[in-house]
Order: sequence, then structure tokens, then C-alpha cells
Amino acid sequence: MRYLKLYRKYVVTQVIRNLEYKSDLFVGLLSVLAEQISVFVFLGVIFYNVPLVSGWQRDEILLIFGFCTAARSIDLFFFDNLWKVGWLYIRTGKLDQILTKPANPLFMLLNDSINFLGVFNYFLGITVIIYSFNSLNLEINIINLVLIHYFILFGGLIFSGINLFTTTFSFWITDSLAIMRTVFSFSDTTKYPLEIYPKIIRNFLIFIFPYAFTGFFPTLYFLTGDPTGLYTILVTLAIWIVSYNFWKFGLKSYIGAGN
Amino acid sequence: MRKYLKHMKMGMLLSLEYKKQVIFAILSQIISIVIMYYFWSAVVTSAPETLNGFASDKDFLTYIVVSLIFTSAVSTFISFEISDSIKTGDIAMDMVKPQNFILKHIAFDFGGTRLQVVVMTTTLIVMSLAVKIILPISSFEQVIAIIFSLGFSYLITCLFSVIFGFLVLITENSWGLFQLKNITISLFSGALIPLTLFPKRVQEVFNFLPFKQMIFTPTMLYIDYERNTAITSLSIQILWVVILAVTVKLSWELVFKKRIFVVGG
Repeated sequence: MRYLKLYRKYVVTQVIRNLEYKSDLFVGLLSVLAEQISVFVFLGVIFYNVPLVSGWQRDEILLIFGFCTAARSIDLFFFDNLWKVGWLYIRTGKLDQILTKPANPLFMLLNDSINFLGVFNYFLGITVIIYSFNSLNLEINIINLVLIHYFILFGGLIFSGINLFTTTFSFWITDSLAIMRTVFSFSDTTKYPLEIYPKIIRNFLIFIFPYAFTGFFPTLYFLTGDPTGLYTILVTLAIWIVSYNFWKFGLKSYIGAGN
Repeated sequence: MRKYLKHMKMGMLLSLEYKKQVIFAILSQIISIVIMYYFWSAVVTSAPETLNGFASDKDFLTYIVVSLIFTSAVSTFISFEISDSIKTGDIAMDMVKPQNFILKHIAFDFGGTRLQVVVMTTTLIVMSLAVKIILPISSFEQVIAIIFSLGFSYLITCLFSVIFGFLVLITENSWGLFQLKNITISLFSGALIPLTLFPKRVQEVFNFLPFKQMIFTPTMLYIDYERNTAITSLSIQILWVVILAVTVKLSWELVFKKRIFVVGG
């Protein structure tokens, strides 16, 4: 309850802060939109040359992209600050300031700045999902809508859970952005059908960094009824238990960036 | 000239501080190469015939891998440098010194990133050759032509980025703007999709834009080398360097210099 109240305060502050930079937000929106347009062009050009990619139609792949985008929105909105732990909080000592306050440090750190582009990302992703549903003649009913949001929510938390794990290395090496980026680049893999990869990479994306659950398995569920995607919540839980404990362990051994 | 060499050296020394980053940068690159290689392999095997503009599937996949490696080879942080100096006000200090502001930043960026880039590009090319996902280079002359072409690509990318860096004065936002720049470049330069796959009409438009010269031209020199086409390609690149340099110079003199006084108050 106390955290809800705190969260509301954080959001209000952030909204006010963002309104200061309106053009900033506008260009941000434009760039998110451009990213989606580039996806459309990318797939459009490929399918202009090829009818199917390993048996997948354009709109089926588009559906994977839609899920990825919408899931990313959860990560962007709530957990974007994980990217800054190393260089903005540990290196500058800002983290020490947070540690002195009487609330969960991770909670405070996360809400220190909120990326409102996440909201926009969500709507873009949903638009793409609904567009693909329509063109693939899939039914949009209440159950499917609930399921779509289930996938988006827990898929999004997979991104954040993995980011939490990699950002924790910052406690020992001050800035783990490079590691984070490297691991995060695996998330691009799941924008494409999993079966195009050799078995070893496939297993890697299911068991080690389970990005396959952010876009591919949800799509597969709707296209073929394959139930693997429904277990997303378990995967997400597992990641978060590991990551959060690792984070707590890291926080304990944190001694500040100075000397 | 001496002062720009100093800036170059400064950039290089600064980059040596971050040696470990290179390893991770190479790892990230390998991951994205692997992803794109498998994705395009799937596309190639699904295609009824060899994709437009390429002699064989092997040629095509070589293009994909090499273009990805070259993308990082010509990448630059110059727009960040410039927008940063605008935001922090460092630009005022730069301007009172007897130097060309843009040349200073290009020299600094060159020194700061080229060492890494040479290490990265060579490692990646050698690795790709070792696992035989790309075709080998045929002659020494070709290597020289590619290096020159990459040099021009780098200059073109830099000058284009400088123009974007200037835009920060108007938008006050750098992150979104550079994202926009990167998307445009990756889409139209041939980094994301080989330009020959676009519809014919669109390809004609690309001839009048600078993006093609950034990635597509040097990569094609790798795939399909012939002395005459190489000379033509390099001349076109030089032409673009000149066009962009003039544009930068003009926008600097006419618009930018005046606006700075306004922002500075």
C-alpha cells in the first residue's frame, strides 16, 4: 500500500518532468514509430521477393514482432532504469543516496525515471497484433485479448528479469552496460521463427536466455495451438527469482564506487 | 594539421581506457551476425530462385555477413560528441580556439574509434572466413579498394551525422533523433536489406541519396570486384563526400553559427 502511494508520487513527478521537454517526447515518439515502419519495410521487401520464409507468411512474422514490441513496452515503462545502474548510479555515487532512504532500493531506483515511450510502444504493438490477427483470420474475442495481455505482461517481465541479472554485475565491475547489451542482443533472435536456427541456439533461447517466450511462443500458440507459450509465467517467475536474489547478493557486496 | 593529429591522439588514448569494451562489442556483433545469417539463410532457401542482383546464394549470404561487419566498421559517435558539446556548452570553448570545429570532432572520433574498428573488423572477417560463411577476397588490389571505399563511407557517415548533430539545437532531444538517424541509415544504406531486393523504382531513388554509399558500395566491392566498377564506385563516393562537406560548411556558416549566439544568450 505504501509502495502504491509512493509509486503514484513518482509517476506524477515524472509526468511533470517530461512535460518540460515536449519536443523531446515528440521526437521520441517519432523514432519509435520509425522503428516500426522500418520493420514493415524490412518484411515488405523480403516478402516482395519471396512468398514464404520457411513456411511462414509475412503477417505471421509480423505477429511475432507485434508481441515483441508490446512486451518490450512493459520493460520500457517500468524497468528502463536498469540500463543506467552502472554509469548513472554506481559510478556517480547516486546509489548511496538511494540506499539511505527507507524503501526497497530496487523500487526507488527503477522509478527514478520512467520512460513514457513504453505507453506508445504498447499501443503500437497492440495495433500490429490486431492487424495480424485480422489478416490471418484469427478471432479476437475476450479470451484471446486476455491471453494476449498475459503474454505481453509476462513476456515483458522476461526482458526485465534478464536485464536485472546482467545489470547486477555493475556492483563488481562498476559498469556492466557492455555485458547487458551483449546479452540483450539475443532478444533480436526471437523476432524470427525459432525453427530457422540450429538446435543449439534454439535450446539456448528456451533454457538459458528464454527470449523465445517473448514473441515466438505466444505467436505459435495462436497459430497452431501449441501450448508451450502458456507456461510463460513459470519461466518469468524462475528468471525473477534467480535475478532478484542475485541482485540482493550484489547489493550486499556493494561497497561504493569511491575508495 | 598538427592540432588535428593531437585531437586524434587524444581520442585514441581515451579509447584505450575501454579495451574490454571491444571484446563485448565483438561478441554483440557475432550474435547479430549469427541471427541475420540464419534468418537470411531461411529466406534464401525459401526463395524460388537466386535473389535479385546476386550470382549465387553464397554471394548473397556473403553480402549479409560482410555488410553487417562493415556497418560497425563505418559507425561513428560523432553526432553524440557534437550534441554533447552543444548541451554542455563546450562548443563555446571549441569555437574560440583557432580550429575548425567539425574537423576537430572528426579527428577526435577517428582517433577514438578507428583502432577498435580495425581490430573488430579484421577479427570478424577472419572468423567468418574461418567458418566459411563468406567467400574469400580474390586479390590484394581488391583489399586496397575496399579499404579506400570504407574510408569514404566513414567520411560520408560522419558528415551526415554531423548534420544530425546540428539538429539537436532545434529539437533539444538527442536520443530520439539519433535513433531516427540510425534507422534511416540502416534501412537505406543496404545494411538491413541488400538494396537490390527493393523494387526497381525505389532503387533508382537510392542512387540520388547518400545512404547507398555508406554500406552498399563497399560491400559490393567485396562481393563482385572489377577494376572499372571499383573506380566508378570510388569516384561517386568522393563526389558525395564533397557534396556533404559543402552542405555541412554551408549549414554551419549560415544557420548554426547564428543560432548558437541565440542559445548562448
